[in-house]
Amino acid sequence: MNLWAIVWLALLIAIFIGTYIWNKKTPQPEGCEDMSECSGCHNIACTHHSAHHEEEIKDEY
Amino acid sequence: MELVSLFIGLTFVNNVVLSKFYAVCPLLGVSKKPKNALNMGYAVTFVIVIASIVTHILYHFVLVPLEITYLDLITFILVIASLVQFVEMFLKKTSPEIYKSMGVYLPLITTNCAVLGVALDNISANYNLIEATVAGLAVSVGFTIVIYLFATIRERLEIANVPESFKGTPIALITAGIMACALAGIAGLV
Repeated sequence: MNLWAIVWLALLIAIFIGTYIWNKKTPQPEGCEDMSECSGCHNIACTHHSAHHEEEIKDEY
Repeated sequence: MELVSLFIGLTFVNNVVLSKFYAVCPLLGVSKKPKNALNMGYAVTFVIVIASIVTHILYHFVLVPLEITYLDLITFILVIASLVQFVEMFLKKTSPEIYKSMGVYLPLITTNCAVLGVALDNISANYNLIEATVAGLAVSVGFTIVIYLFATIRERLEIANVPESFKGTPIALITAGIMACALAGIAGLV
C-alpha cells in the first residue's frame, strides 16, 4: 500500500471537512435565510426537500 | 479550429445529457420552470468549468507523479464536494446576488454526475489543460441549453392534452428521447 495514497486521502478528507465547516459557519446573506427548501424533485431523502422543513415548522410549534 | 470543433461536438453532437444520460436527475427534477432550469444551468456551468481545471491539475501534478492514479475517482468526488462548499461560501461573502440567484441549486450540484463524468472523461481523453477547460465549458453549455429547452417544452406539456398514463415523468422521458434523436441528426456536423 502506497503511503502517499493514505496521506493524500487524509488530506482530501480534511479539506472537505474544513470547507464544509467553514461554509456552515459563514452567515447567510440578508434575504437568503429561507433558501434551503427545494421542490425541484420528489426525492424525500434529500435534506432540501420541503417535507423536512415542514417537520421543523411543526417542531417549532 | 480543433477547439471550436471540440466545443461544438460536446455541446450539440455528443451532448452528455442526451447521448450519455449524465445528469438526468436534475434534467427531470429541475426542469419544471424555465427560470429554475436556467439557474441550475448557470450553477452547473460555474462548477463544471472550475472542476475541469482543478481536477486536471491535480491528476497531472499530484496523482501521476505519486503513482496513485487509481485514486482518481475518490479524489475527484472529494475535490468536487469541497469545491462546491468553497464556491458556496465564497459567493455568500462576496456576491449575495449571485448566491441568491443560484439558490439551493448550488449545493445540489455535488450530486450531479455530469461534473464527475466530465472530469473523468477529460482524463480518459488525455486532454491538455486548455482542451479540458473548453470541454468543461462545452459540456455545461450543452447541459444548460438542453435543460432550458426541456423546461420550456414541459411548461407547454402542462397545458397539453396528454393521456392520463403519460402525464408527468413518462411524457418527460419521451420528450427527452425525441430531443436526443433531434441532436443525433446533426452528428455529421463535426
